Amino acid sequence: MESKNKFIRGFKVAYKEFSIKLITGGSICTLLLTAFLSCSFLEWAYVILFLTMMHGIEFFNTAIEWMVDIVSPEYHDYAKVAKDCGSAAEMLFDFCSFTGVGIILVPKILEVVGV
Amino acid sequence: MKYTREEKRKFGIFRLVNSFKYSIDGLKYALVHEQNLVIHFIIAFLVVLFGFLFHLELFEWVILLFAIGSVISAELLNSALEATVDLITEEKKKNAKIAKDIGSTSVLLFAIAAAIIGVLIFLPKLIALF
Repeated sequence: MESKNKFIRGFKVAYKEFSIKLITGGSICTLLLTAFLSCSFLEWAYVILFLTMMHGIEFFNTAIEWMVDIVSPEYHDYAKVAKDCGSAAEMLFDFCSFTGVGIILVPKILEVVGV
Repeated sequence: MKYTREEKRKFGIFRLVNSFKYSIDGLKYALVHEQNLVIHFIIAFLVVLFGFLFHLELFEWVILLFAIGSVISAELLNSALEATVDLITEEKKKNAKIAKDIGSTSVLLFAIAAAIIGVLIFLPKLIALF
């Protein structure tokens, strides 16, 4: 379990969180869809930018949550503020990336389906 | 070293709804207490309005969405970080100052990048207008 590398250790801890598993699953599906729909270079770049940024914010949020749990295991006003602001950041960027990836992929899906 | 964070194993629709509730709580708190976030939201609204006026292309909309989302998320993460620092120490400390300063620098960098993106998209259209 114990790995010398901080990078690998961080990944091992982070993938215990349900939200990160969810986001990674969604990202893999999106990448498969992007590959299937034969997108241009620019579209690939946008999709990867959105997905990577989403993971980054998610990992930051996890780090903040762990830090808050270490500092104050019991209830505290600032602890609630910290966790809520972190998850608000996550939610907002998730909405943005759903919309952005949707703008790129939905017209192509409609074209394939033939509507 | 063992990680001792309490693991929540319950899955379900209630947990999802609750997490949205917490997110909206955080957004409300940040909107009341952080002036910069209100400014970011006003600028984002103006940008979207001008985008509709200038009939932007799809790719320009996508990159604008990325810029808006990353700036606002960075601001919210910054306020989360500030709350964490306040939780740890109430008095003035050097490390607390460094943490808060670096957090706000990240927001500044994102804001500068977003401003450059906005200028790159809107300036040629404004010049073509006159």
